[in-house]
Amino acid sequence: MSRELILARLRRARTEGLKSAAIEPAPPKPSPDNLIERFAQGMQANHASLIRCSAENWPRHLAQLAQQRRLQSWLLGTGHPQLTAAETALSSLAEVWRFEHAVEQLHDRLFRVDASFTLCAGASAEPAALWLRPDPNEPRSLSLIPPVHVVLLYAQQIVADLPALLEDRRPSSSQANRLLISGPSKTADIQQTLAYGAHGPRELIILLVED
Amino acid sequence: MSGFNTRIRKALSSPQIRQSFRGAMDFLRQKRAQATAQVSDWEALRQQGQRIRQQVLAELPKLLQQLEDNCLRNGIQVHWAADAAQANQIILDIAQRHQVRAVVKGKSMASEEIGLNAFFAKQGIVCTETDMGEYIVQLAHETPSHIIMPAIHKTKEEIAELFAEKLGHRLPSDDVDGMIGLGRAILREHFKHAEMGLTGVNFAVAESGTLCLVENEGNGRFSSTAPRIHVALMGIEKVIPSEQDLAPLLSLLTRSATGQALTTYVNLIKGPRGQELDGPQEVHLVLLDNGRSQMYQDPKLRETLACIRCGACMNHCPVYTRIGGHAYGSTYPGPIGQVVTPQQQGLQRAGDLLDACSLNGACGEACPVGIDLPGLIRRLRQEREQSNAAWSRRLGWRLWSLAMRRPGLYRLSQTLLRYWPYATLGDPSGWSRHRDFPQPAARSLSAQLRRRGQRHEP
Amino acid sequence: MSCNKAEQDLRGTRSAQPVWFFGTCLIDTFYPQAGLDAIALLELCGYEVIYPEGQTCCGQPACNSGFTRQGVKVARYLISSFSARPWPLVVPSASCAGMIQRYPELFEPGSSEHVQAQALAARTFELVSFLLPHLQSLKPRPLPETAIALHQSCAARRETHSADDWETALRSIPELQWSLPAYAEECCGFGGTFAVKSPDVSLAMTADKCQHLRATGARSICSGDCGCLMNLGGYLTRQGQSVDTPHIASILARAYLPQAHLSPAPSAAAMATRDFEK
Repeated sequence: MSRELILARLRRARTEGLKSAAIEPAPPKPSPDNLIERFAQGMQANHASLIRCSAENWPRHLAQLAQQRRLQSWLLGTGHPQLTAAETALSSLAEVWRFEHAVEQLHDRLFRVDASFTLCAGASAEPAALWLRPDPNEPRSLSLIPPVHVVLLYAQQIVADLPALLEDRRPSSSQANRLLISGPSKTADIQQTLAYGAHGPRELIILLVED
Repeated sequence: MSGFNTRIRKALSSPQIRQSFRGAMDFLRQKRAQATAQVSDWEALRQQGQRIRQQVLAELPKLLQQLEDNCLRNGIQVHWAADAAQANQIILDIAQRHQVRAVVKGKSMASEEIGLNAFFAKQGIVCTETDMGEYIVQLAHETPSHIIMPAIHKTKEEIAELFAEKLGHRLPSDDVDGMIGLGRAILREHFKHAEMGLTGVNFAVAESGTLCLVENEGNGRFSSTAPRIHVALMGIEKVIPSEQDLAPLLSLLTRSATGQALTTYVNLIKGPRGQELDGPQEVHLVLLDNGRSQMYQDPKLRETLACIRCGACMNHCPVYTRIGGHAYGSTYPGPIGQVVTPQQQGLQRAGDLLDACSLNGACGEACPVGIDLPGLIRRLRQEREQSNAAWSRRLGWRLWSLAMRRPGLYRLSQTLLRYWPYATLGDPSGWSRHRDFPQPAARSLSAQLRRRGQRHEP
Repeated sequence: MSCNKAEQDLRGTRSAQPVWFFGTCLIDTFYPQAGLDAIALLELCGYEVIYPEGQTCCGQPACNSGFTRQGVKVARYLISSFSARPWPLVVPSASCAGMIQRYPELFEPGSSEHVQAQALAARTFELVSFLLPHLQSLKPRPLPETAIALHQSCAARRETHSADDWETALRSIPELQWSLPAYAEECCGFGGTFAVKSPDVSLAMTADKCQHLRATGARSICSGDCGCLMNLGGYLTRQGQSVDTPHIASILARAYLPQAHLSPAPSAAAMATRDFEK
């Protein structure tokens, strides 16, 4: 069997010379205090849009967004109170769908909605990135298939860097997929010319909630 | 003349290849320079990356078993492939078990390495490349000319023409957004209907059984999310010990490859959908050996396996910059290709790749995990000459070495050089076909110093 | 230290610190003036230069071509030539100095040869890097009429890490007009046997490098590696372009050496290809 063959060959090799000293993680850098600004700058550099709002007014900003951009159908997950608030804000302006059943029952809808709205599990300032942990409430496709992805982020969720973000080992009902997202989907495969919306969302819009 | 030299000559005589690659390499080098300058201590980060990769090599069999255990625990099915044929067969078996007719592929150099598309085509299963560059290359019936930017050899004009011919939509060549939009629309249909998605793996974390995919477009995410079955194919060297290793390696990879602090997506996959509402119902991991365990036997050549496939070595290689990726005629071009290919295909068959290197060291300098690429090329040249060198070359170097250890012979050879009848005999090295040979000085440095009584012993 | 002081030190050779000098086969055979200038600079800086007779080559051509066993024999020979005393070994070529610094790779770790190679590697220096700390206390003469393009060799950039020192040394000369070409970090296409085994791509690289060097407007191309100079000079003369290719030691000699020490016509003639001297 190939498995045994490969492993046997690897074990046969002489590796005494190789150091296998435990790798010490780089000493944590002192947390810069302007995390929010750095995150905002990084995200904007990556062509993401940032809307700064408050815990009270973010639903209004979301509604404004739907109106201004003519985003007429939305797909939301389930289970979080913020999603109810979002639905309330959007419902008079747009069609709002919930991702409640297995994707197979939703297939075409998923490809036809104008936008999705999700929460996120955190963010890092440098590099600027959102941390998403899709689960039964907020499935993987929400941040992938609709052309516009709106994310609700609380400023206090922002940590300094990737090591701090990846530390997040909170168990969830399903840990099958975790994601870093640093901007809208893009490609430079045609003569190094940057184009957005290669396969994933063309636009990434972050509603950044500050106290 | 070898096939390689013929291809080199052909590439050099194409102004378009020269221009495309020069432009693209300038672009990528500059992006990388900016991205590495942003890191407060790039060198320390590099060393950290090098240490991680060394640790992987020190514990490779153990880490692979750990990866396997944890993947199984997470519901990922694990397969081991000794060579390309086995890997293809394993993937085909999975496909046939599920009556798969269409496969979407995220970007994967390992799948190029095993020739998966051609193999599947023979079985009547269509594999569609979904990385935009790979898609363009597939439409043109070509192979990637760069491991990160597969269609780097093509101009906008060519791609517009290709899309018009193959997709029936003519777009102005300066409408890159339009062309990408067209590709997006067509490939989304494929994503909707394909039963199987195949991707590569950038890193596989042993301690948690997690597969890490790094990309900007979303082709990897789509291929591993939309179809019912996800098959991930990885070289066995891509395993890393722990999640802690991800942050430094990601930073090294994306900064070196495309000059980004982070790619748009880093996708960490730990298993099939479970209780979720989407995602694949089955996830398979195929661990590909294909010569890697052989490379692992030799303490020096083993360094080849530290590679994280960022492409910085080719981006900085003055040879690659001039001849482009196709001239190498191998899956992996540039310095890493010159090191990998002869080890996979044999020195007899691919050894001539080693000649196209001036040992200038730019690749080793750019390598984010400190692989001594020039040293590996030197070492493989040694292997090649030990096994294949013609007797005349052996004799030539033997005589040279003798002359360099016998001052009398050395002086004699200097004299020979001085009086060599170039005009009639030419120069045996071929140097003087393109460059004047310098005239030996009438009196060598040694002779002049002897004459003036320079102190010559302690 | 003033020039006069240096002169005095030079005369009082008894107290001068000895250094080994490896002239390299290229300088010995084709570019002796570069060697003479290098030695004069070392003496100016207060060193006594020991030049073992019978020295030849560092073995790099064989090692780079895959004939490592033959290269190792030559390396062994070089080690024995410079190991009677643990003095610094100064090499007027980054490429050859880099090779000697790599010698330990050629021998079994732990063997006595390995130990010797390590010791030699540790006391091997590229010429300009070795000179630089001393030059900083001397007063160079201005060279207003000279315009040169500096070719940083790959070995100087990536092996001996002398490239910055070359720049610093040139910068120290008042009124010298010098510049780096575009793509300064790219190889000139020499690479020893590479130029012979992959002639087409080597030539393409050389042509590009020469174009960038010429674009600086300088008539002289200077470097600290004679392999590169042989390649660039040989290509340009074949193209019918007249160009000087002095070793960086010759430029430094003109600025730093007292007039009396300067050999006649230290400029172009010393290095130009196809030029019989003396």
